[in-house]
Amino acid sequence: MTVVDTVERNVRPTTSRWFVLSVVAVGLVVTGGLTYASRANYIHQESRLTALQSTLVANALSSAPLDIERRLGAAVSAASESSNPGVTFAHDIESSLTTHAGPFTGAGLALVTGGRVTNLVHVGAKPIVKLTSATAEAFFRKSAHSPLLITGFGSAGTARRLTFGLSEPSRYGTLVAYSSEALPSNGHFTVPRSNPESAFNLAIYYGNSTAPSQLLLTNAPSTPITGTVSVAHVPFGSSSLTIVSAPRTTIAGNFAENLPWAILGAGLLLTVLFAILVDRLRRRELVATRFASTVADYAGSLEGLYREQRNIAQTLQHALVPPTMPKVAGLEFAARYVPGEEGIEVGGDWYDVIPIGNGVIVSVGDVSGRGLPAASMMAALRFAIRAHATYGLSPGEILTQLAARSDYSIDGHFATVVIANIDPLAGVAVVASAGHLPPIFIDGHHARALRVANGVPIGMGPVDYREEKFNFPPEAALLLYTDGLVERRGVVLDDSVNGLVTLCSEVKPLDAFLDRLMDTLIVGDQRDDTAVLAIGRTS
Amino acid sequence: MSDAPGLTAHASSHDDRVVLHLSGELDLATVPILDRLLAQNAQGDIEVDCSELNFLDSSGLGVLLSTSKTRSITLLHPNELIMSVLDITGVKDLFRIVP
Repeated sequence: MTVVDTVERNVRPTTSRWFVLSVVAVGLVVTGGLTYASRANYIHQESRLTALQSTLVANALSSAPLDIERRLGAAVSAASESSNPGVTFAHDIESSLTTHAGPFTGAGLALVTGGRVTNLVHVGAKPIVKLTSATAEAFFRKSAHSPLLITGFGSAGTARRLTFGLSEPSRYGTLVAYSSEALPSNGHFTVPRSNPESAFNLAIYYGNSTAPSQLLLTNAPSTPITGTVSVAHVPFGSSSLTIVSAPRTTIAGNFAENLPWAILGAGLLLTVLFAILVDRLRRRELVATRFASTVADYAGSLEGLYREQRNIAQTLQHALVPPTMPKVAGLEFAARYVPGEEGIEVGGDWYDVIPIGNGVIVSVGDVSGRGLPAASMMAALRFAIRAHATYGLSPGEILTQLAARSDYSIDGHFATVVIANIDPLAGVAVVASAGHLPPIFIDGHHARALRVANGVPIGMGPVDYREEKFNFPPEAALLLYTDGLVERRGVVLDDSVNGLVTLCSEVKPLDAFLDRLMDTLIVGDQRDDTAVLAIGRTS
Repeated sequence: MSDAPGLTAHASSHDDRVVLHLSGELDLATVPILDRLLAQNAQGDIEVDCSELNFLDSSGLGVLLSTSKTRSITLLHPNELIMSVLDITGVKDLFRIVP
C-alpha cells in the first residue's frame, strides 16, 4: 500500500460534500429553468398552432351557410315568381339533393300566411319530424319572420339532421324554403390523412355550448376533447357553431415536444457528471494537500533525524577533542579544530595529548571518510593510542600495534596518524608517521618539515613502523596538523607544506601563532576538517 | 559541493585489464564516481590513467588503496600534484607507477 492510498482512504471530505451539493443545486436550478422555459415555449407554440387551426376550420364552416342560402334562395325566388310554386321549387331544388350529389337530404317549400302553415311540396328523404308537427310549424313561422337563414338541429332516434329555412315574400304569402342535411348517427366522421385537419381532434357543436347533446360532428375517438384545446365560435345562419380542437400528436414537431425532456435529461446527467468530477477534483486536492503536508512532515522528520545524527557525530567528536589541555611540566599546548563545510557530516580528524611518565605523547590523525562511522573509528583509534601510550609503548610501536589490528576491508576506513613522544626533561622527541603529513619542527626561528620515514596508513595491513628521534631544545616547538590545513587544489602538496613552513617563523605565544595560521590558511570554502596541534617547550 | 570542478571518469577494457581514465579532482565529493566505475568493471587488473588528475585527497586515496589490496593497480602518468600526495603519505610503494 502506498502512502497516497493510505491518505486517500483517510480523507473525510466534509468540505467537499458541501461543495458538491452546491454544484448539484446550481445544476438542478439551471436544468429546471431551461426545461421549464423550453416546455412553456413548446406549449405556447402548440396553443398558437391549434388556435390557428381552429380558426381555419371555423372560417371554412362559416362559408357553408352561404352555399345553402344560395341554393335555397334561388329555388324560393323562382317559386315566388311561379304560378305553381311547389312544382317550380321541386324542380329547382332537385339538383341540390344528395341523390344528385347535392348537400340536402331532403327539401321542401311551405307557405306561411298569417298564422297558418301549409306545406306545398317536399322532395327527397322523409323528414324525421312530421311537417305538421308543432316543432316543424314553429320552425317555419320563425323562418317566415326572418330574412336570414334560419338553422336548426334535431334528432329522432339515431337520425340527426341539421335544418335550414329561408323565407321569401310572394303574392301567395310568405314562402319558406327548407332543407335538411343528415349527420352521421354517432357524429363521427373521418378526415383523410392528407388533410391538415387529420392532425387534430375536432368536435363541432351546434350553438355556443359544448353539451354532448349538441355534438354535430367529431373525428375524435371520444369527446370531450382533451389536450391543448382550442375553442372557436362561428356564426351559422341564425345560430352558431362551436369548434373544439386539439392536436392529436405534437404539431410543433417531435423535436420541439421532446426538447424539454432532452434538456431535463441532459441537464441532470451533466449535473451528476459535473458533481462527480468536482467531487473527484476536490478529493484529489484534499489528498494532495494532505500528501503535501505529510511530505513536509516527513521532510521535517528527516531533517530532524539528519540534524540529530549530525548532532550525535558532533557530540562524539567534541567529546573526543580534549576540552582542556593537561598540564605537563616544561611543555605548553595549543590546538584548533575546524569542521569542514563539505555537507553536514563530521569528519574523522582528531588531536590528543596524553601525559606519560617521561613527558607526553601527542597524536594527530585523520580517518578517511566522514560521518558517524568515521567518527567511531576515530574514537577507537584514539583510545587505542591512549591505552598503548599509557602502557609505555613508543610512537612507532603504537602505530605497529594499531596497524596489526586494523583492516580497511573490515572497518571501511583507513587512517593517517602521526604520533610524537616529547620528553622535555631529556630534551628529545620521537616521531612516527603512518601515511601522515610531515610535522613542522620549529627550532627557535627556524622551521622545517620533518621528513621522517613514513609508513602506510593504518588499515593497509600489518606493518612495522619506524620512528625517528631528534633533539627538542628549549624554545623548540612542534606543529602537527591534518590535510585540511595544506591540501589545496592545483597546488603540489610538497609546495603547500613548504608554504606552511614559511609561516612558522614566529610561534610564541602558541595561541597567537595558531590564530594567525588559521586566519591565513583556513578560507571560507574549506572543504575538509582541520585539526592542528602545537607543542612548545616552556623556558 | 556543487561548485566543485568535479571528476570525469570512463573505463576502457584491454584484454584482461581495465583502464580507468580519471580527469579532474578525486575527492570526497567525487569518490562515488570512481566507486561506481570500479563496480562496473569488477574483474581484471586496473590501470589508472592519472595524467589529467589534478587533485587527490585522503578519500580518493582510500579507494585506490583499498582496491589495491585485492587487485593490482598501476598508476599511469601521475603528475607532480598526485606524486606529492603519494610521496608524503608514504603509499607510493603500494602502487606500480608508470611515470
